[in-house]
Amino acid sequence: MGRDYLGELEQQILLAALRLRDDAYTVSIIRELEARTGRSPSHGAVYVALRRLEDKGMIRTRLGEATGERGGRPPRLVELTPAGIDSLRETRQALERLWSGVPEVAE
Amino acid sequence: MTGRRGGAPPQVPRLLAALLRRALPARHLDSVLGDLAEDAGRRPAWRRPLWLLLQTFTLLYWNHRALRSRRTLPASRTPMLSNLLFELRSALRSLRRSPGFAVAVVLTVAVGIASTTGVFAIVEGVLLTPLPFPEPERLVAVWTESSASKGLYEDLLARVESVEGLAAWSAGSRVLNDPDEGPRLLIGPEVTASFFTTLGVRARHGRLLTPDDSLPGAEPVVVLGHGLFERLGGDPLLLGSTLPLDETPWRVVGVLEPGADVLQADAAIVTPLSLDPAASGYRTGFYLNLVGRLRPETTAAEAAAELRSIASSLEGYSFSERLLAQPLVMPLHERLFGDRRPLLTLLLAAVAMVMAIGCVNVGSLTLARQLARKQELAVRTALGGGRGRGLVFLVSESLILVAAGWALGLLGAAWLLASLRAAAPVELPRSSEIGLNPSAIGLSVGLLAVAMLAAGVLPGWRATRLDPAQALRPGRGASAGRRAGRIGESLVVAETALAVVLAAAAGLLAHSMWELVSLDPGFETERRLLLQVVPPAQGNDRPFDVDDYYEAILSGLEALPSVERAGTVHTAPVRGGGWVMSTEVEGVEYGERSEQPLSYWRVISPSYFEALGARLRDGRSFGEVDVAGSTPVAIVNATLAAERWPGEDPLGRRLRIGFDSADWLTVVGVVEDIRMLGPATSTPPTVYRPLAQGATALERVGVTTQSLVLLTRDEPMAAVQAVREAMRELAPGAPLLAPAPLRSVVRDSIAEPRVLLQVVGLFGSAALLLAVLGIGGVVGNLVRQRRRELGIRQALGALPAQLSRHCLVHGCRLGAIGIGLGMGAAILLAPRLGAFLHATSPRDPLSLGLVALVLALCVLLASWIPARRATRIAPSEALRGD
Repeated sequence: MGRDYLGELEQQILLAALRLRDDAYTVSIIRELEARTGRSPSHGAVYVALRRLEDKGMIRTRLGEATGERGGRPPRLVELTPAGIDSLRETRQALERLWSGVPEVAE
Repeated sequence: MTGRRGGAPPQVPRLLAALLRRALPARHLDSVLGDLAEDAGRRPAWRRPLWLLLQTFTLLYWNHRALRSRRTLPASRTPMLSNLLFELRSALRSLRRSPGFAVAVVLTVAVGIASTTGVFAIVEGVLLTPLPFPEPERLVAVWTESSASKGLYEDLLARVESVEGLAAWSAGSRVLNDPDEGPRLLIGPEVTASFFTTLGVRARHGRLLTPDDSLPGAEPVVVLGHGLFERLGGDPLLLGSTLPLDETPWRVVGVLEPGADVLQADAAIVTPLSLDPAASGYRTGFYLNLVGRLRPETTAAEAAAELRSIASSLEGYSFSERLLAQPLVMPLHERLFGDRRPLLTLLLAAVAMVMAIGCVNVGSLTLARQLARKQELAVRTALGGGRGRGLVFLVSESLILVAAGWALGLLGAAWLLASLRAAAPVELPRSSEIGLNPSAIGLSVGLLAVAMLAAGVLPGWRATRLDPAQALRPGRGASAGRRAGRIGESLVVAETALAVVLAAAAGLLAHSMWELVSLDPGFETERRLLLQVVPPAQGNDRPFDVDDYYEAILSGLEALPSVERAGTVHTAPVRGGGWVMSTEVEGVEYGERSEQPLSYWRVISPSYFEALGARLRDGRSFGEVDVAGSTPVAIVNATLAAERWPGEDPLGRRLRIGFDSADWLTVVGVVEDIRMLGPATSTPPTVYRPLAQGATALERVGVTTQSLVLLTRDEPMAAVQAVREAMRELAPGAPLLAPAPLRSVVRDSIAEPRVLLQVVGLFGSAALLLAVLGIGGVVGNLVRQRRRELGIRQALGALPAQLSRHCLVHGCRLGAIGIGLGMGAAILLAPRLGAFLHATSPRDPLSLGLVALVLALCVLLASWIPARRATRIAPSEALRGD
């Protein structure tokens, strides 16, 4: 598990989910990524990444409250597992170790 | 969950939801659909369908990739989609083996999509796009049977309540005396101050017009269009300076916004409409257009009713009581573009038929191909492949082809529109606004879906309904094959019928065109040059003598070696328009003046008929004796003579036109009808007056522009340079407008029916070609399917000729049914074409009969070619198993 570094989109999705706390689901994550990174992943990409993260045990999902705006369909709310948080941390540390060897370009 | 908007959530369309249901696990489906619905709600409504489509496809794509990368077998609900890619790949491979089929389908779909989308974009741009003004739906045009006079405008303005900001405008133009480039005509309406506020047009620099600018004695001011402003240097310092228009300095007070629409095409300037009750023609000059805004909650019909009651209470309009009885109120958009509606609708109907025929053809092509693969399909079914999987196998090919045709068609439509904008063959209003817009692309997507259904899914569905046990039995085709054959046959009958309808329309239009071309215009067109002279308006202190002015020009031009004869008329033939006058005939009692018959009124130089090559039927032409003081004389055309004095000699009779003169006019000649309103319109009764006598009436209303008709020695255009140089001396400061050979003026006047004929003819031929291919295909299939049967017959002694006749009869029967149905439909629909036909009955038996004959020959040929193959079947080969 520890060797399994996260892909870029996976990292971004996990971080967005952390920022969104209790309101993390596909649409809010896409919006968060749009606002923070300027890129707008498709529903397909996010859906598949979430499924993969769930399979890897990095997130847990549960159904939220259905609203009229969603045509009465509940959102699948995302919550990071301790393994997910560990994995994020490991990925960040690995990246930082790599960056530390790189001079000026960094800033 | 914050920051969400209210309102009904957009639903994911059922088709897309069904696709997702097949691909995604049930436990995820609901939340994914909810996500899509919620996110779609953030987007503008018009983008939603495409966005949802795109997101659905990316979802399916990512899901498919994820499944494959996990190397698991597809779950039981997923085969259709996860295997689509596999099927598409294998379809591409198999298409590479039959390029002819692929090219035929792609081109058919592309032609259909390109023409339909292109024509729809035109229709949309012209008819459906609202005018570029705020709240355009409230804008209405108000007019009577003719236009309004200034007096009538002010009377209506003072009383009307259902229409706000009633404004008047009149198409106009003024001569700019440019010291560098010589005199130049600037087009631009004269308007009341309320015109701008009513339309919602704003100034870029300076101000627009105010009511004071329209008062008698006000300083002449002009508002420049943005284009002219740029050409003059684009310097705002231009405001306040003066522009020499019509030899008078006009003060520039403002500049319009770029792209501001002031209702007159190519407008460069806007000048105030003077409203002086003391001026002549205040009550009697009916040439103003009125535009206003309906008060909120008011309909055009209510406004019309109010105006009618106002009109009936007005006094002082005895002359035009009849015209005033029917004030009309119509949405401005309708008034400006409504006359284009039938033409565009007709074109749209024609292309829709081509598209339908294309779909039918592609459908029957693919059906034949799919049936040919029925054994392969049967093996798949026998091995447990479900019907859905079989369908995917069959349709993937046509889906690829149709999608390619769609893409090509969109490109074609874009190209078509670009070339149309560059050179509009028919004068279309707002042609610059035509382009591939979202709704045209949306339509093409809809057509794509229809084409896919027609070309792939429906025939495929049909073909999968066969029993593997039957299909796999060697030899005889299954009964399903025959059933599918019947579908193919009905498709061919349908497309033949559609082709007949289009060809019948083309035939009728061709007949009508022939009538138009062979019409006698009443004058000669060879070696005739037509042009217009616009003398700059003179100040009020300098009276302008129209007669002397043109007398000098005519004798000056006739002195040129390249000009044989020169004449003037105040409204050119064919180019149309003109002044309608109520005409009193001596010896007839009229109760009211409004009962007097109307006739067209033309003021001409004595040389006019000769220069034009018109034929005098009776009496004499105008001459030296017809001067201002002598007996007032008139020449009437043959129509007027026949209407007023049937069977009698019109010479010496007298008539009176109040507008022209209080005296009786003696008829001295009868001229053959000259088509004045274009060849498609029959010539109305017309009274001609000599320039020396009629000029005073023209001068009274300030009309100084005349058209010149020159009989040249050689090619008319070769004389233009000499004429231009001479005119610089003869009429300084007067621009010459639109010099053109009379021949091309006449030809241009029927440009629209010609283009219509070309377009419908093109569509008709395309439809005919497709139908012929369809019939050929069906007969070919018949021969292929019955090879064994034909082979056996031949082995038993049937003669080749009998066999081919058997197939021929089959094709011809289909063709005959199609032609019969098509003729029935054509006869039912033809009256709708009536407006476009000249001297041709919409049920003209000659045209329809010819079309039926041509179609029948085509059907015969289309069946004969494949039927011949039936005779070349070697029995030994045919009887060998497949």
